[in-house]
Amino acid sequence: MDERLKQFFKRAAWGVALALLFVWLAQRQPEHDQVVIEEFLGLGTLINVSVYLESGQTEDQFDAAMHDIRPMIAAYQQRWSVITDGGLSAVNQALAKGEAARIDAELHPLFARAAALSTASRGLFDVRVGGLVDLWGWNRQEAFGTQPPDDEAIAATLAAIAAAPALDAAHYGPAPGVQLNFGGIAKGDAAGKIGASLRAAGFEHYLVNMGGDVVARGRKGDGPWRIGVRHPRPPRAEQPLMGIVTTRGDETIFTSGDYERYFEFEGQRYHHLIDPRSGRPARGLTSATVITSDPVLADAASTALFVAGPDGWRDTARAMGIDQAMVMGADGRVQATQAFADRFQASTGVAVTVLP
Amino acid sequence: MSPGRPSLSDAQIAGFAAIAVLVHLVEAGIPSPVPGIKPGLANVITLIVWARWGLRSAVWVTGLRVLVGSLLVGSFMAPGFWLAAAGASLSLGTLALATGWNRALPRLPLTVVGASALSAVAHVSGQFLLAWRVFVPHPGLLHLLPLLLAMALALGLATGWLAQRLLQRLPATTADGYTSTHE
Amino acid sequence: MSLADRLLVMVLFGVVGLSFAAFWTPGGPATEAEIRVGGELVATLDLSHPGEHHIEGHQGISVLRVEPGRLRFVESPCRNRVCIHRGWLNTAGDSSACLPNRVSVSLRGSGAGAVDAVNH
Repeated sequence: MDERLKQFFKRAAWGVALALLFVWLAQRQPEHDQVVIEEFLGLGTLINVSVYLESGQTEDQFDAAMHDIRPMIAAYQQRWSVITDGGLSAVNQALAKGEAARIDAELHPLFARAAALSTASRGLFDVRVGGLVDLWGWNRQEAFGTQPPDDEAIAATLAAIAAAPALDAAHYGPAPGVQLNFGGIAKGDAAGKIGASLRAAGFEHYLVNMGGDVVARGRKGDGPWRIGVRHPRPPRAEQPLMGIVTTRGDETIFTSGDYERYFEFEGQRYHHLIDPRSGRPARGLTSATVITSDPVLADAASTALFVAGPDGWRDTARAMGIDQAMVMGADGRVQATQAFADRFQASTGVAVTVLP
Repeated sequence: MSPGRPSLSDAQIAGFAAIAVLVHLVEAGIPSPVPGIKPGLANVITLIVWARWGLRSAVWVTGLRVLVGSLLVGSFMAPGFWLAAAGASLSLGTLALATGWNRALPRLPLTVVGASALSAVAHVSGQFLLAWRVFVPHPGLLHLLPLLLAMALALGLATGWLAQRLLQRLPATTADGYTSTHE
Repeated sequence: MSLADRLLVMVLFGVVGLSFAAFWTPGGPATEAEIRVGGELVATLDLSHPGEHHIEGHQGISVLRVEPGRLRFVESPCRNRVCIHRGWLNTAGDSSACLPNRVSVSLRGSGAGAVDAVNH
């Protein structure tokens, strides 16, 4: 054989041996999945907690943290539920009897937040709509209403709310005919508390998904967390997302929409987002999405923006200090603030108009 | 075969195929940041052979690479082998088209860079078609196609550029078809 | 690069652009679904195998339908229908639940573009 060919094949053999060594080295250390996920049911929804483990952190540590978080959420649900016996139920029972209610100290912080957010949203977010929520049947987890309530019943409840005092942290009432419901704010608060527990346990990279509302912190390894935003009316089944948001540090993304909690009566859709001004489901938008760092604000603001409707959402966002928001109108048009549009990766066919 | 462009001897074809297999194995050993996307450096060898010694030699080298590579990795006759074969066939098909183009329009020739971009896109398309039609008939997979094509185009341009650089450094062939080394 | 190269690369860029216009949607396809009852994993379904799955929950049977690459609740003993209103799920990272029946599904997949959560 030619001398050069011999030399060539000798080198090739060495090369193959080296290559096999590389393959073996690569397979010896399989990239193990460093994201651990735990799911549980709580606060009337599916809660999904994902944590990216840093080096030195183990799945056992995550399990231990979740072991504390589950009962905390169960206690939280008890405290804020309007159907089981807890702090808020006691307040509502006192109000129903026409008495003034003293508010437990552990409820004070969220009462104060709710009062401030109600003022900031000019009443579009209001926890005093409990009576309306009951009338429409949205508090019944096992079965929502099947038809709208009487006009007179709505009018009477609206009148009671109009006559009632504004929310106060330490005591409330008497406010006959008024019931409090923290459904539009408790999920955000609870998500924030889960995040705080994870941080206390040493986890700096997590994603808490509370039935579709998401609180994220840190990163998923070398990339950000990626959050899809559901399309309220998917044009094609294969395209369920309006687009994607990748998170930057500490962020919360909340959406209020009309497409899950609703019933239909005589061809009309009645959803769970009640306009405190009319006592009826807010009209004009199909979804409102908000990104901000504070989960309580995000929860209240997504509701308030939805209620504000196509003409009012932008001003409401400004009033509540939200600079990243997007809404879809009943006509299918998508509007967003500049800050939201700048980072939103829209799906094909989704045109986002910026409203300055 | 155009005159003045000697084809490779069997031993040389085997040698180039061995280099291609080697590159392929090294590449397989490096974890990819995105699953399913590889730079395709083994194609550099195919491109060099195509540009210097013509289509027939390139077909041989690539065929041997796919066959021997799959035997070494142990994926012969498994889905991975058919995927590689489908990609290689379509990519060689486009190299044949490029050869035809250069023969028909010698004044507007395609270089190794253009051929590389074209063959990379064809390679991914071939793999994708087979994967989608046969292995995973899954409507969601279609959404990945644009991403894969974009990556293929970028990586194809990169490997083409690399092949061009290597061709410039590769010593000219002697009349009997052996490369003369200057060592 | 020769003139022909440049022309060819321009055409290829056009083809890739067209493919984006035609097919691109962010969000990776899901390949499997984890089914939980009361938070406990009871089954992992391969989404490439169509069929119907009957999951025993706390109140009765929830029926899940699988078609290639997607899954939905078709029946559940709940009366509020939230799980069924959710429709087809096909994005890795998405999830849905029938709360009254304590049945939840979470879609998994690792394709390029998969999301970690779906905001809804």
